[in-house]
Amino acid sequence: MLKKSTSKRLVDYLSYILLILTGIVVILPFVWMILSSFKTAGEIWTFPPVFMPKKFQWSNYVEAWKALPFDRFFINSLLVTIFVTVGQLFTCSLGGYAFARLRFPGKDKLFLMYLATMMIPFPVLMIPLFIIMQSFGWIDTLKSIIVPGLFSAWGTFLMRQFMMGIPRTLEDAAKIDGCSYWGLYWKIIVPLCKPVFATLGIFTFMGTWNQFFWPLIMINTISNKTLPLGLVMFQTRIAAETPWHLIMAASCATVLPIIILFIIGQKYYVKGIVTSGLKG
Amino acid sequence: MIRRDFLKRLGQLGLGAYGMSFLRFCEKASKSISNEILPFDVKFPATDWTMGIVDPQISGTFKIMSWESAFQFEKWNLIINEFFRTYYPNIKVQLDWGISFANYNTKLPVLLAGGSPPDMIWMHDTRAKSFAAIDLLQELDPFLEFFKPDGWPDEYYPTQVESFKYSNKQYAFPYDYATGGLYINLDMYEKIDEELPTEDWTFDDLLRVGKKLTKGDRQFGLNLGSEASAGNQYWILRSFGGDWFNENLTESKFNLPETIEAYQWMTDLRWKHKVAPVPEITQGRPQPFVDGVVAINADLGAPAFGDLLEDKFNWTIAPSPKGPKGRFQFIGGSALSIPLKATHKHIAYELIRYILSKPENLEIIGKKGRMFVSRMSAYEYGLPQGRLAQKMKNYKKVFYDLARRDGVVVPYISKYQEWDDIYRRNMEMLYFGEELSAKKVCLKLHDATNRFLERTYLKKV
Repeated sequence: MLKKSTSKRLVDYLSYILLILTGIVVILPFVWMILSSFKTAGEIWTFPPVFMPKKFQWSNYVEAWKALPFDRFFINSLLVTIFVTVGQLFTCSLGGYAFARLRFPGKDKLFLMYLATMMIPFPVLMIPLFIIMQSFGWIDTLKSIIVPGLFSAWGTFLMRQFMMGIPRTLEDAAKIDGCSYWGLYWKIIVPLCKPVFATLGIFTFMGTWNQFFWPLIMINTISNKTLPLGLVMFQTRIAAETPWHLIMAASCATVLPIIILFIIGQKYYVKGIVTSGLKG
Repeated sequence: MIRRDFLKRLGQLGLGAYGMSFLRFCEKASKSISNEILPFDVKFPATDWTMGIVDPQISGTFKIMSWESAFQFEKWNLIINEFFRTYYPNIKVQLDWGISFANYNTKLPVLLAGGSPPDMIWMHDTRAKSFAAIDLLQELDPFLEFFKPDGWPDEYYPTQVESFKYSNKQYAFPYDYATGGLYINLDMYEKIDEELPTEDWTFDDLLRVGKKLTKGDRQFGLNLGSEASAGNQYWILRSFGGDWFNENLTESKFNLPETIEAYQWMTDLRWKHKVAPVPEITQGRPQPFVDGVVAINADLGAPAFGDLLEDKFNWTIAPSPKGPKGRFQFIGGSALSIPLKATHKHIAYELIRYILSKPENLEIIGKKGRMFVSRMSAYEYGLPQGRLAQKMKNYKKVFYDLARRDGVVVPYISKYQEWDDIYRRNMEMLYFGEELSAKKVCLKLHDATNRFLERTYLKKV
């Protein structure tokens, strides 16, 4: 019979092996993307697939960058993502605060109605939203992507649920000291909501950074395109003609900010998932 | 005013504002729908490429939307910029390109339905009739009559002119011409001591050679594509004497013995004779010919393979075979269109005419493009150059002469996408080997197609 410490060690080893294997499976597509960014067009299509390029084609990065203004796409994506993330944190926290703390007629019905908007599939909303943007004269502007993204029923719901868990006594004490509603929100609620802010912030950032469909509809000129739109500009009607090696090179370069953000915010991200019970 | 009254008033005000804006939108929409009259009042000096209807000093934005990719759009850009610089210098051109084909077909209907269409759009033969049938495209015949392009229509591929007609009216001006042929791995072929296929070969000849070229599941003699891909296999169907439906769209033809025979032949290649790769192999291997797994591969005449092959093996091209009812060759292509609600229709037509009938421009499109341009006399610009020309010495014969003679217009009906779903669902059973009897599948599809035709076309009659 195995000793308890030996069997524990065995379980640990098995767990590590399993985790390493899972890690490899998860990271493999990413490594594949990086290696493919150095391949020739012919190597991409080779079967059985070759893992390592015969010769590292650094020129793929230069060629991709020269073919399309990825710096412009990058700035556009960054602008849209920052505005949407900050805006959504602000509107969702205000909405969440109102639904969690304020008393007004029809509050629950309004909240339910707001939540119900999550059930409507986006393609149904697409043409009405397009017409609204058109009537504002916002077609082919970044505003048309930013403004509809400033509000989120899901974000409001997340905020509300978190805020409902904050003890009312803190607010009561502030009220006795003469604090206004805005003061309560800004000085009491917001500081206590850092984890949920981090969670919503990261989810919104990632969602907006990768957003494709709505910008595709709204943006027409190359100078207003975002990164996901820019990446597909290499795709041709005949699959064999698509320069996948350049797409991979551009993808590698553009995925960097999101990785950096994840590394920086990893602690909050994990904490947020644990706090809210949400998975990406 | 108490708070409740205030909120009530605010709500009423909001609803009122929303109602007003909605009415304004409806008014705008109805105005633009009725704006279909095309005046041809010549008020300004005309040139070889402008009608003199629009003021050359006009300012504004001219919107173009295309599915061409970063490298493909270069040729169009050159020509479009030249046109506007010369004839309408104050017009700002907004180019929306680099949208993949699938995304293009998602975005375009939204723009057209949303009332914000571009002035000139790219149009595919599989979609043209669908858009024309719901009045989203401008009929080009008045323009073609008033300001006829050089050589129209006789010098343009008749199949391409026909492909973009709906109810006998022209809705798009074809710009390219893609046709099918056989790509042959010569390293494999030279070992079997057979002549290369000619246009007089039959499907039986091809099968005989395919059997000789097949070596278990390491090497397959033939790859003619999937029978689930309706348009691409239509030439085989017609070669056997089969069809999808009758001309009036009142009856399916999937119950014809010839139709069933064609599909049985395609299915048997894979499951009975085992000379074609099964889906398990082709799905994990997007280019089986390039990978050296297939000896004879049917594909389009675009020399795209040349770049991918990188001299991996010797290869060439040959014509596709003929069937019991004659020889038919796949034809496909794209065109330029004007949306019905476009703002600058006259300029759009002038631009299309300039791009596709000015000889210098045809040279640019042909040489920088991947296929033949739609004007037959400009075929030499579409011929492969250099190393590829050596590989494909009979390129002109296979992809130009024979295509002109035997090209078949695929009947992409106005509800083609809807019907294609029905077709695919049924034919995938043959392709994946879930059912090996083409008769069973064809009869099932026959019923489904008849129901579709009745629901879609007969009720309207």
